Amino acid sequence: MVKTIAVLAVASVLAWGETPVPSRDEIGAVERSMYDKLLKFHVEAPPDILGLPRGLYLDGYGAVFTAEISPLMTPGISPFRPSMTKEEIARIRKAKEQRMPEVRVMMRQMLVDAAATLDRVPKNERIVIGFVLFYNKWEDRGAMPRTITMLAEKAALLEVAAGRGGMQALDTAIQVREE
Amino acid sequence: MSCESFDWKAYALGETAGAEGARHEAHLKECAGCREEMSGLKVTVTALKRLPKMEPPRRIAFVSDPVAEPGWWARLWASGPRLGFASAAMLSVAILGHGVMSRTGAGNDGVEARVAQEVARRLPAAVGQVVNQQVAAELAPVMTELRGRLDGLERGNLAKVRGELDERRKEDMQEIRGAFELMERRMNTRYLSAARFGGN
Repeated sequence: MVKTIAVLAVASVLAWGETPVPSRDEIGAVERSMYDKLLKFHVEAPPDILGLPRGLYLDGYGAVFTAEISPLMTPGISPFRPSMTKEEIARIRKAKEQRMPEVRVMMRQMLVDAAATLDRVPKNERIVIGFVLFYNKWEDRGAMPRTITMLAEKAALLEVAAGRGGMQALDTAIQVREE
Repeated sequence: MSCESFDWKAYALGETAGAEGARHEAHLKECAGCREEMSGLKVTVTALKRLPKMEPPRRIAFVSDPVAEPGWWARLWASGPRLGFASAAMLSVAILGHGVMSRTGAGNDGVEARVAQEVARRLPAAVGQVVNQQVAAELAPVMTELRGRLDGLERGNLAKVRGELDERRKEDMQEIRGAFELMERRMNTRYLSAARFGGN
């Protein structure tokens, strides 16, 4: 009996010393969740998903997810439509600019959901979501960013997910970088 | 008093005198017709008076003289068949003239028809040829001028325009290529999402 207890104690100590790593399935679940959110982002005018969500866990740093999207499905150039008029370009730019705040809100929600899903990511590590935004050559990008990167510590995101912190706490916890 | 009772010829020749002459003169003042007749007679008398006076011939031939006898042609002409011969001749001339005139008229109609047909056949080609020649003559200097201008454009601006068009065409091709690449990426994303997420 004593031997058994001793063996279990040694095994526990050894297991306690190993770093927990999120499995590929866990990462894939977050990817799927992100994809679903993108699909449901706007049912009538869905975003153009050009790069499916992909995630990696970086040991000691956290989980990083990326996707490439265009907030709006834009018409393409073709032999039947060799060029876009100035009015069309301005209209598309305005529509995208109106869509950008909603994209940022969606990314925040993705961060919170990913933190709640990835149990094996340590709380002191980070969850990162980066969106690469696609623009056609003929588009007027103006001040709109090419990439949006949001990162936050998992512990802060879990606080928000548990309802203990509001959007204000989330804004404080998240670092946003747009370029 | 009627005009027939006056002898104007005698009056014109000066053969009436005295009361008769006065009566003629009085009537002339009243009758315009007689004045006109008298005027004509005076012209005749005046003309006769202007003729030169000639001596009468010393010898007068008589009808019985051989000199006065008609010749053989005159006798033939004055003979009995003269009337018949003249009638036959006139009839022949009439028949001949009718024949000639009829044939000439028919010939004219045929010729006119042929001429009209030939004119209709040849006229368009002839007119077209003339018009073409005139148009070519009128257009020749204009075409020369235009050709010169085009040559100038060819040498000067056309190369520049061609360069711009080539550049524009390349840009269009790049845009079209980008559009196709975008479409390809969309399709790839659909395939990948179907494979990874079960077709959602």
